Amino acid sequence: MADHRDIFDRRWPGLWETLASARPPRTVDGPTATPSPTLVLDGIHVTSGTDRAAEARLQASAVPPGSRRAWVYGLALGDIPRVLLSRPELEQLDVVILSPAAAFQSLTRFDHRDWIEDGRVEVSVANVESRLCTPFAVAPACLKLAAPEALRLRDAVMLALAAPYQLEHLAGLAKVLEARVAANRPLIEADGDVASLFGSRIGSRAAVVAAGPTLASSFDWLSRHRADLTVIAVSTAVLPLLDHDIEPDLAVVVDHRPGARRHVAGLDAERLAGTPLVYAPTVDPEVLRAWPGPRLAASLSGKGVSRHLGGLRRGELFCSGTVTHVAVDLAVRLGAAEVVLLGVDLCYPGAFTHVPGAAPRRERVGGALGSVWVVNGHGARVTTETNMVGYLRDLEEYVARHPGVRFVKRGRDGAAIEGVEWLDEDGDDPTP
Amino acid sequence: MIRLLDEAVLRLRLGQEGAGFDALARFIDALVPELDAGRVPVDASRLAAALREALSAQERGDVLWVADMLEHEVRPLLATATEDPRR
Repeated sequence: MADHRDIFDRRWPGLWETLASARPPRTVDGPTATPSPTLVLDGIHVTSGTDRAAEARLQASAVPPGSRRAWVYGLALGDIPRVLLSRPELEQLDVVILSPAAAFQSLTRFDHRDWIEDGRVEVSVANVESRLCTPFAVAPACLKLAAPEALRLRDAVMLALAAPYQLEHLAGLAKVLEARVAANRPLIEADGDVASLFGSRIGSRAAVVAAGPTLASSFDWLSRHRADLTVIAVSTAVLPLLDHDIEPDLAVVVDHRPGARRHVAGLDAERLAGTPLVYAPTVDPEVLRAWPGPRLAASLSGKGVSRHLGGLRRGELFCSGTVTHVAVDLAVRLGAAEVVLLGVDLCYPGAFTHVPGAAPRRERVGGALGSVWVVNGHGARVTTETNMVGYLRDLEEYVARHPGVRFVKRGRDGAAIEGVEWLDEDGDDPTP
Repeated sequence: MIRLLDEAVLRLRLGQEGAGFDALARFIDALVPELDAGRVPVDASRLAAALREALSAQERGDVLWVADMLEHEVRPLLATATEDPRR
């Protein structure tokens, strides 16, 4: 440990103190009595306990041969840097620590002298400004143990790792979605175009209503302010709103799966007869036919979105995987000066998926804090899924691209969204 | 079936959890009918213990331990039973 400290003090002044001052993990076990001794922090093995060397070779293979510079996210036990530094063509290796606490435990229990003295190595600690660089390799366990300051970088790494699988999934759906658009063509051609709404409510205040659990705390607020709002509901929020005697001005559906039929099952036709449904061309036609009001078709644009309009042009709305994006962009395209987000949780507050009354509501399996989490409005961690982390970050980028619109949010048990102020639970003015 | 297991291990060690756990689910879906039909003569209690440990590790997000259980506990049992040598 003294040698490590000396090296760090000489090469990266101040960094050792940063690591040493990090709050230690709740449980620490290591070196373990396994074929490959490893470290277990808060129940997470930082490497394989059976064959660390083979695992590190696999993980390092993510950096293409011939790379002259590479990044390693997560220090773990130093095995990935060791493998990469054996490449003579590598000129610089940046090792970015995601968990100072984990790194300190590793550096005080395992020998890292063989690689941290290599002149090609730069070690740093991730902060809120850190951005993903490529090519990279990652120590997966360090994503689980990441410190709050490393959250954005952790999410960027996680999403980059998930991207090939998501694109593969989307590519597999391509033919299905093309067939769906073809089946919907008669409806799309007969229905209206969402573009007819663009600019129709300049300077207005819009409420985008999603069906996250925190919506339950906003029904009264919504009722009190109903007259001053354009209420845009995602399809899963329509039933809960009607249960609380709130009719939306617009509804939005983009889900192509058969499960979306539950969103519109048993709707009160009389109450929704005047409410337009904005829809993506890949929605199940049964859902479209079940809607009692007028319909407006839309094109979707965004990351990973398949566009299968077969030559049909309709008003374009942003979508990066969730109907909430589409509803938010609709509000902005209407001309709203302020957008209030209700039930936009992007996580599982109270371990439930949706607000009571929403058709797909269920208790998430494993109510304890899961391995993927975000920070809510109270600064606490809340379990979520990788895809929802992606939706959250893409929504933040969307907000940043629209500085002329004020975005506010109710429901502090849901995920905090950068660029979106909290709306006080009892008042009407945003609170920091 | 072994191919799905290997896919799960590979993806989990690379941090590709979605793909990894999807492959694991497909492996279990393929395994269960084989076990029920008696086509995979394994030590059922050892296999069950290893899978329980793997699923427990999955619950707490300990993905590399999941990979270790699958690769070094489950796979050897099935490889012996199916005489499917590692490629």
